[in-house]
Amino acid sequence: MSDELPEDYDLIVIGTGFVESCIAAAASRIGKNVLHIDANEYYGDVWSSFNLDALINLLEQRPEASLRNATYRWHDRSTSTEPISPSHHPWTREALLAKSRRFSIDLCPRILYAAGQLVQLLIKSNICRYAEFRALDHVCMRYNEEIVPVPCSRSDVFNTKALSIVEKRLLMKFLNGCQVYNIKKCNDDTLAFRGKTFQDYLQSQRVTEKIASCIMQSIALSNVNTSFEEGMERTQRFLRSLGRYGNTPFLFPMYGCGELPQCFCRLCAVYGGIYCLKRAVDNVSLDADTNEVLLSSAGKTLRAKNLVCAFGQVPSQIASNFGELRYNISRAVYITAHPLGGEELNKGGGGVNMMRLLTDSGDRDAIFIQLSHYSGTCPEGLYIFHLTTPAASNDPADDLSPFTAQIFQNNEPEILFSSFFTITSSTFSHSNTSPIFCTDAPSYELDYDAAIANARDIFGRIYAGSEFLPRAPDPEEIVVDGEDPSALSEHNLPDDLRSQLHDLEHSTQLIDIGE
Amino acid sequence: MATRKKSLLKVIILGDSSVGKTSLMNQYVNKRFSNQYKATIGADFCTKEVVVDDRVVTMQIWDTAGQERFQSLGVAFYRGADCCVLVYDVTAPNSFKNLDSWRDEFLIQASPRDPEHFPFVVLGNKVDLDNRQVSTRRAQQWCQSKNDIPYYETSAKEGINVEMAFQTIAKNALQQEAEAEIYNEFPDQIRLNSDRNNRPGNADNCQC
Repeated sequence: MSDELPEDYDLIVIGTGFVESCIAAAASRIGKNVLHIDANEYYGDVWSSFNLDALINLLEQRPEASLRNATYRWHDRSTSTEPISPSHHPWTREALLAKSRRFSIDLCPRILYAAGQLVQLLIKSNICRYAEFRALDHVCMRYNEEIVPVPCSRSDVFNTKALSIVEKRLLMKFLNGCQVYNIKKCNDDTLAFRGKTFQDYLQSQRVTEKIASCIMQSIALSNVNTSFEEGMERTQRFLRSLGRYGNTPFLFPMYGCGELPQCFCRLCAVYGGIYCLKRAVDNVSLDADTNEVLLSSAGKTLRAKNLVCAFGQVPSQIASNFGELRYNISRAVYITAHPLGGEELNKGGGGVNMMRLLTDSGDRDAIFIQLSHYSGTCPEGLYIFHLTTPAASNDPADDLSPFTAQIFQNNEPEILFSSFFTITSSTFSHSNTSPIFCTDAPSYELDYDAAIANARDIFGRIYAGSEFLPRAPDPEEIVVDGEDPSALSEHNLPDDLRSQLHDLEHSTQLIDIGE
Repeated sequence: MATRKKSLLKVIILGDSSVGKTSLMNQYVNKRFSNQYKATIGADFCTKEVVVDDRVVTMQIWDTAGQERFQSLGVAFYRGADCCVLVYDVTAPNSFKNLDSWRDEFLIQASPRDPEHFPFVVLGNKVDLDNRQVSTRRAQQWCQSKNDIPYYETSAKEGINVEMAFQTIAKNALQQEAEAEIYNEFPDQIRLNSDRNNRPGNADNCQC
């Protein structure tokens, strides 16, 4: 397959992570000529999902750029001298690796609000046709050292045994209050809380401690420092996303979040974008006359009006534009043979559960995601636990220790494999005249709001005034150039007429032979 | 009367660039052929309703969108395929040799539950051209050696064997689907905006 790579582009994008893929798709969608390359042999960069073998390879490489402080450990049962009880799965290291391809382990797992920014963008752009999702099965919280479900829907609130009747009334009253709250309208009840924390407001509402932690931890996704306005806004976002799909307001992409950049890449390709994985860049320079970017890669010089580059794949020539390295996110990945929480939370082998954790002081938080095989991310009988917190140091295990202590305190799921790593970032100083832009590394957020904002911003700076990912038309709206829809060709004839025509031709042929 | 159950089959078309993947899809779904070659632009997927064994099924045929050109198809493309169509050009021996790697690539990326019995169909395209380089026998032998993959020689340009080949593709995909239903591997999957995508009224159309 010797195909020549064209040399001139409107835009070259380096890195196939979420933000870069959004920009590539958006540029291609408005008719720009896009080349999208990645030094890796896979899509997604630091936003990718990996099978078990590939994840271990990645952690062993300890890449210089966006993933650091990586460690992993097998919690081997095979070497233990204890007899394995019959109820135990014989999940040895070999058994796990034999199923390596059944894993799809995210470096940066996210949960989507059913009415959130990403879902809206996927629908608006029609990119949603490339992906499938699973509604989160349960939102959980930790209360009195136990893991309990958070009632999400109205019927949940009525049915749950976790709350008393009085608590149910209080919760409904509180949520109704949030729903009618309007930031622009001056309301005497809420005016007093402007500039205070969300927790102050919660306490004033005379809810029980259980309800308060339910709202803080899981509905308003807040901590003690969250402002009143922010907490109300998050609660409303939760409520807006309810009742759309499934029983919770959240979605998770089937086969993991690594699928999402690929959906954007496909749209880019459908509109003519060229894809080249395993393509490293050796040199970047600017053409002094035209202010175009010159890129040398595999002995070729490529030229583009603009360059967008992922933080982790920045060529060294422009790396000097970066500020100091920052630790963005501390991550843990566990593979276990048992889900967290009781049977109520894991009916039928468990689905996708989410839990937000707060430290005792309430000023630090983490997101815990439990995935079962129904999410397409691990083999049947196994579970993936993702734990994510804003990085406080270069030791992800230490950053996460208050949270791991919480989840593994009264539950001892059979941990088979564990891994820790840090996602790093740095600030790129962009000069106004430069045609080179750099995307942000993943930051700590539940959904993709900041990532989408980053993509929109860069797209807007390159193509000011153009729409960001307008809807890709449906089939019936596409008119093929140069085709007269009213022209009749043989193939357009109805089947019965066509067969008559064939019969006619056939009989003419027979006559020919006869002569 | 037999119950008519509807289902959606995902079929993906693989093969080297310019063997005629998009043209075959276009010929089958829209009954048209364009001689102007352009590396696949705008080709996405086509849907067509077919009747197999008294059952109406919607076949969704996915094109590579040109991402195969520099061997850059991502794993997402392969997810949930019910049948894989391998296409080569009978006038281009290399495209025939590469069938092996396309098949391997599919089995690795899609990792179907039962790789031995996963339905492939091989199409030798462009039989309307004079300068044929790969013999029917050679292609048939290869197909036999891979667990008897059904083989058709087609011309997207002349519409030769296209209908018949896709009928087999639908039939074999449906068998795969029947087995997948027993496993029920991922129930409750959600498609966003599903009313638009799964609307049965506009089944015969194409995004290319």
